[in-house]
Amino acid sequence: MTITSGWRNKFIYPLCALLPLLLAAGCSGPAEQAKSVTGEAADIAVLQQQLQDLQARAEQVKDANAIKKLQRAYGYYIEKGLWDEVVALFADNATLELARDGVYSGKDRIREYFYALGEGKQGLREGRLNEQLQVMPVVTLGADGKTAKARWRNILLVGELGKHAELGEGPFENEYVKDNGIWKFSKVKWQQAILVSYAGGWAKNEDYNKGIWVSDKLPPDAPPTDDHGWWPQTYLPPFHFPNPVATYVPPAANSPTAVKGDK
Amino acid sequence: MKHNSLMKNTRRVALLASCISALVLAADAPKSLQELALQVAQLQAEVVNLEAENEIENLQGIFGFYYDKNEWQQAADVFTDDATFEWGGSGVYVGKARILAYLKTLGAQGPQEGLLNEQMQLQPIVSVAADGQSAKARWHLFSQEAVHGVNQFWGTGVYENEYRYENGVWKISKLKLYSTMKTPYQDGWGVTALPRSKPSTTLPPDQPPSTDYKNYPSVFVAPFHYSNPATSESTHAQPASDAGSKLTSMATVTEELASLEKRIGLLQDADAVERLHTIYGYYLAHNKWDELAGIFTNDGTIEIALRGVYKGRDSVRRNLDLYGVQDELKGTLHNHMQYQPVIHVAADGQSALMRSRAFSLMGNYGGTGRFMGGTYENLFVKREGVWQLHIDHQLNTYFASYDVGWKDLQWIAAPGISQTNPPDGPPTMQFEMYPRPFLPPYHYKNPVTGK
Repeated sequence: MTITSGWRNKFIYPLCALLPLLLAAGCSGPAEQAKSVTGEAADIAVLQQQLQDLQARAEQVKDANAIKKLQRAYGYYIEKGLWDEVVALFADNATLELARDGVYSGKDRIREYFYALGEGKQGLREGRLNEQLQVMPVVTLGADGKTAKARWRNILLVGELGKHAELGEGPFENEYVKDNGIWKFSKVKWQQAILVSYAGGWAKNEDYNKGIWVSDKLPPDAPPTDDHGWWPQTYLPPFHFPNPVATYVPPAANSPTAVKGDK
Repeated sequence: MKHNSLMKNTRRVALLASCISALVLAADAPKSLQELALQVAQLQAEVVNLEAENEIENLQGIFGFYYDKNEWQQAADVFTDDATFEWGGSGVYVGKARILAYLKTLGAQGPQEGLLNEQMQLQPIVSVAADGQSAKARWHLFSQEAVHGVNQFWGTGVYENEYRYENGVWKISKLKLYSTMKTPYQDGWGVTALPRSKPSTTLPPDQPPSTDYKNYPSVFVAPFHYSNPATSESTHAQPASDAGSKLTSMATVTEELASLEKRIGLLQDADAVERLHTIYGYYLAHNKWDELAGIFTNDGTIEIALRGVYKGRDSVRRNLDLYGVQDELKGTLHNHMQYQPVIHVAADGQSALMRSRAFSLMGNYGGTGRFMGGTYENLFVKREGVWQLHIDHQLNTYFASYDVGWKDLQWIAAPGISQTNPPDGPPTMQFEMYPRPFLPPYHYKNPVTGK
């Protein structure tokens, strides 16, 4: 969250009347208390400001929860091939980029993508497994209250009985937009860190499909935005968030020397 | 980023956000005490429901940790007296006493030698009713089960559960697990798919299975308790009918706002702690040692796998060198996933205890792969308004090679003290890894019984 919870501000709301000026000044000047109101009206005005501050903070908690629900709902729909439900989670001008398939822009193309994934059919086919667990959310709300970003990890147990089985995982770095009070995806981007045959796992197999799911049949609107190959090649997709505390800086005279891992 | 500049930037963003939200909200600003009281009552109802979401997530996580370790009495105690329980094809057990009786058929009470029963409670979608008195939730189950020397399985499923607020506490009123997939570890789901479980013959259920479905390879969609979140408005919390009548004076409204300020602060604290611990997992997964050491307090400690206690940020950073070279992950998988947080923020909002689960995929291409399971019991503290990790304590459940899995995993001790990069102090407690039994101590009491 962008607002630290321990923080109190008694001076914000009088400042808001001067918002344009304050924006120019970086909102950092001292406050001029309103003086014209007196008695109960003044007391109500003070409480009103406190209420509005609290409403805004509660809204942030609700926003983060709504974004988590959206991503988790995506997982529950996608694992059963409920493509129409999945597509409804996207904003009209959203983009979708899964694994190394490239970028699909807009809801229509996103629908085409998912239907290609389902071989033209809504609903998972009998005999198939498509578990995709959505875990480890790091939600960061924009200061505008209308946008957000989140990192997630997707765990995959996929395959078809009697034919093949793969184990996979990788991080999402997604973006969200609040559209008429409802959060939707504006950008879904997932890196396929590994998708490997269950027999032997990641020690014995290269990536199962090299990150290509449907783009060989349904070309994307744009190539992958950062293509770093496939397992065993490794890549760290950048974090959208800064370190929430601080990056460690070693004492200059006493720099720690790397000890070879003994685990 | 240094602490001071971080705080300054955070404040600036916060100030700006507050200015904007105040402008947006100005149109609805209350003019009279009555109007103000109505809005305060509305906010109060919303806060009640947000707290409920957190408590229900904690509750399900707590149930999961009890279930893992055959803590049957504790697990049964989080249900309402009239609750129903249905696990895969078990049929329905009605009432707390019957639930306990059923759970006892699953094995002897408490952690058992040679038993692994990791039942991960993931991906919650909690929907609290408008009146804040009941709730429903969908969860994902992902399990690793083994009886040493006998068998071992992967499993998945989806819960659609119900909860009720009784005497000031949330309880599970209905637990229903739709099993999806179960397969022996040595085969995997491409080779073998086990059918849904059958009702017990030793303790037949009170009712037959309530839904007719088959496990994978059939496809069954467990009914959703919610409609698509992008095409429907979320439920709005409704204030209790007498909420407004308690807010008739400046004094009561002032008091209520002060209380709400505290409660909203605690909600934000819980979010911040969960977020920080999740970031810990991402940094750990990519050997981002300077970033990881930086989220500890300057006197924080790390204690992993009986390696002892490394105290202070410099020592924490030194400890991380034991797990590999900073930023170097060529052909190596070091994925340390963090799940199922049970977070209790102290009433003063300055510290928080967390139990959570670790599940790791490790190893390198051309070498060996392995899994790790474990439990964290951590302490977070807030300093200068920023949440930081103060005690990081991991109790490993197992390290298992990919090729062997859990069934024939030979007992080994946890890695223990490094001679070349020793800790500042010995382990604060000893623990045992599977197949030996061990119950990592809980930082909390049973939320229903207080035991």
